[in-house]
Amino acid sequence: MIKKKDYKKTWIALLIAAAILILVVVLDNLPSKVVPSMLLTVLQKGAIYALVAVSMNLLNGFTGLFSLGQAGFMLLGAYTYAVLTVPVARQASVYQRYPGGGLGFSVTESLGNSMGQLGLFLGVVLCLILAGCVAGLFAWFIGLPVLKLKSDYLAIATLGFAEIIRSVVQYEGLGPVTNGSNLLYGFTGFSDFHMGELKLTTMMPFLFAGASILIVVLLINSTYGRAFKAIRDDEVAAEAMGINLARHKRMSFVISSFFAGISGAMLAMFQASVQATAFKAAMTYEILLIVVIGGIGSVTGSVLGSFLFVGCSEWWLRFLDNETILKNFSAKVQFCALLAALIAVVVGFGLLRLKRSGRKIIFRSGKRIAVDWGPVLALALAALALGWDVWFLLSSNLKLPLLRSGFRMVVFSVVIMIVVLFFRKGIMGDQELWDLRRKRRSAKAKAGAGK
Amino acid sequence: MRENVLRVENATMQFGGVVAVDNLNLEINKGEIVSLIGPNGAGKTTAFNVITGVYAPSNGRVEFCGETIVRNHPQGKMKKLYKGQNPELYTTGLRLPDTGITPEERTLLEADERERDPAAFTDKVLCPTPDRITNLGMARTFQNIRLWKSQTVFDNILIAKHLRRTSNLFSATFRMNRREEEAQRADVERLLDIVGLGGLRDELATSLPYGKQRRLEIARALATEPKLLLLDEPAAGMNPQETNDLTEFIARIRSELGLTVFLIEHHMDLVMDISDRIYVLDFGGLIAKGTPADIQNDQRVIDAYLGVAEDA
Repeated sequence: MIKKKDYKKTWIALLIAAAILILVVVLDNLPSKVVPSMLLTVLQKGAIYALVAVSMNLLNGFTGLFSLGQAGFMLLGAYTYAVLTVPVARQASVYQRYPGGGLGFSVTESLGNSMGQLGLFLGVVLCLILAGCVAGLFAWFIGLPVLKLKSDYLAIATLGFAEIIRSVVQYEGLGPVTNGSNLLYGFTGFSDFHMGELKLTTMMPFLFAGASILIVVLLINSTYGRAFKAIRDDEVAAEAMGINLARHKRMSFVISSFFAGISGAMLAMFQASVQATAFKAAMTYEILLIVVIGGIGSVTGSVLGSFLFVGCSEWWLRFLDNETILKNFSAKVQFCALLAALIAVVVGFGLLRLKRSGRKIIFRSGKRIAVDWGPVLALALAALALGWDVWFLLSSNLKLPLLRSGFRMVVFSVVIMIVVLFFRKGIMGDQELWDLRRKRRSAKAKAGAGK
Repeated sequence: MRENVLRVENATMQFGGVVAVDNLNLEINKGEIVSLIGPNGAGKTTAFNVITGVYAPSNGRVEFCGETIVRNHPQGKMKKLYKGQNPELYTTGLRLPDTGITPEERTLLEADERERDPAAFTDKVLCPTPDRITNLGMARTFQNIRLWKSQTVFDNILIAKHLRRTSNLFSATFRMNRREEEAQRADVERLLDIVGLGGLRDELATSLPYGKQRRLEIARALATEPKLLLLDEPAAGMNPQETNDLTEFIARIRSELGLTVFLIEHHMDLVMDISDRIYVLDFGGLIAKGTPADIQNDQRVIDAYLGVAEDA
């Protein structure tokens, strides 16, 4: 009986996955007037970031190891992939500063020449797995000394490692392989995939990331995943119940790095070029941010968070970086009305919070009653913003203030602060999408039993 | 003679200048319920930690089912600082008397010793991590409850089954261990019934009342399929009714599952009720051992618990 239910669930999951892939292919092939090219960029990069965020969540959220080495492992994956797949004909121009550099063969090229698109696909899969393996191998060695550390110390050590890797890759002596600090380019990317006229550029990252995330989810729900969660919840108890801490931590670290390596390779495919300087600690922080926004310990949270993050940083908040001058007074009225509406929504939520917190702001005869200052502060800020809005409407200036290059990051930081202050559990907390349905059902059952 | 399950020899645990456990010797036979009692700070939990591998003892040896699982002797800096007895005992494994036996007897005894413990005549230190000891068949609970907080009652027990797995990472991830998984789940259901938590399987472990959390911890320890169960103050914070239930429960699991139980406890009703034998610790050292009746009448035990007038 249980088995039947399991099969049903598997079928539903497969159907949803197939639907998403088909939708992505359709989006990819619609004329660019209908589908903005930005959407495709966001989808591709979002899928890649989703994988690396899930891999980081496996380590930070499910095993409780606070590691900040993700960018380092991504870099290893990206370089492994790039070095293996630069076409032979282009190696001379790519490695022009290191004559005779390059491997002298290209996995995807040779497979692609002999078997066409299928060969190309197999070659890319092979190289992605190799990229993951290189990252995993490094993780295994680094894990030996580093995983004895706990919390902040582990974070510092892994962060240091990532920086070391970045410097080593740029080392002149490795130039014939890594091209020193110069770009590697010309290798097989997502845009090389097509089926006749049908473009598969966006489907490929979805396919690879989806398959990898599926494996992580299966792992998390297996007996090993449960052991990881036990280590996160209480190490001492886990060890006393026979879970080998060193072994399981290393396992989690290596697997996480394996998938970080794969996503690094995919990032290289997406960007069509690799340079070590791009894989800075800032990249790790971006991923950490996605994990926190999505919810630590939630795979769906990480996936949603990464699309949201990439969407915001690449697309929706781009306008904040452009200096904007409104065309005429009516445009200004529209802008001010929009802002006022936004403020009204914020104020509404603030009032809702006040009401729900159940604290009355009444001063009885000299007796102060505790006030929840968060919403009060928010309301005060909203009032200030509204005042400014009115002032801007009445002034003769048509140029929108504040909007200039770099302002996007300021807004982003503020959004993050708000998330961390008020929605500390992130979008999903430690729940998954499929948990929510089950929870509602069990709540219903309980209410029914109560009657 | 009854089969020996646990034997602790000369165990000493020294933290800096403090000797928390001083030259502890004890033996537990199969099927017994043995208690370790003593005033606060006597070193009971430290003794447990030495047996289960949380601490490596400064000196001494622990044998489990005839196999040496822990052995250590003062080395390096500890050689000078060591305050316990017989520091040389485990450096050569010499547990034989120097005089009074003939060379032939000595050879025989040595051969016997070597068979029991292949590394007996070396300086080899043996300090496995707690998980390895649990794997051998010794499971414990904690004085301050240590359940996995974000997990349900069911998952808490299921996770403890992890160490008896036969699947590897690959087969577990790709669900090629369905049969084992089902067997594990069935076993967890059985354990839930035994400890009487069947109706609470999907509750979060921390949402249970205190007494039930204790029971869950015992169930979790039982899930590791132990031969010897170590309970660290299982009745702490329980009211008399709950303590009575627990007493019955421990007696029941002993007879039903054929377990040996070693427990630390402060509730004397419980201890005197179910113990076959009792060891009494004070200031790290063993001051008495025997049946509950012996212990109740032992002057040193009474003194340790009630105190003695200084210049009487």
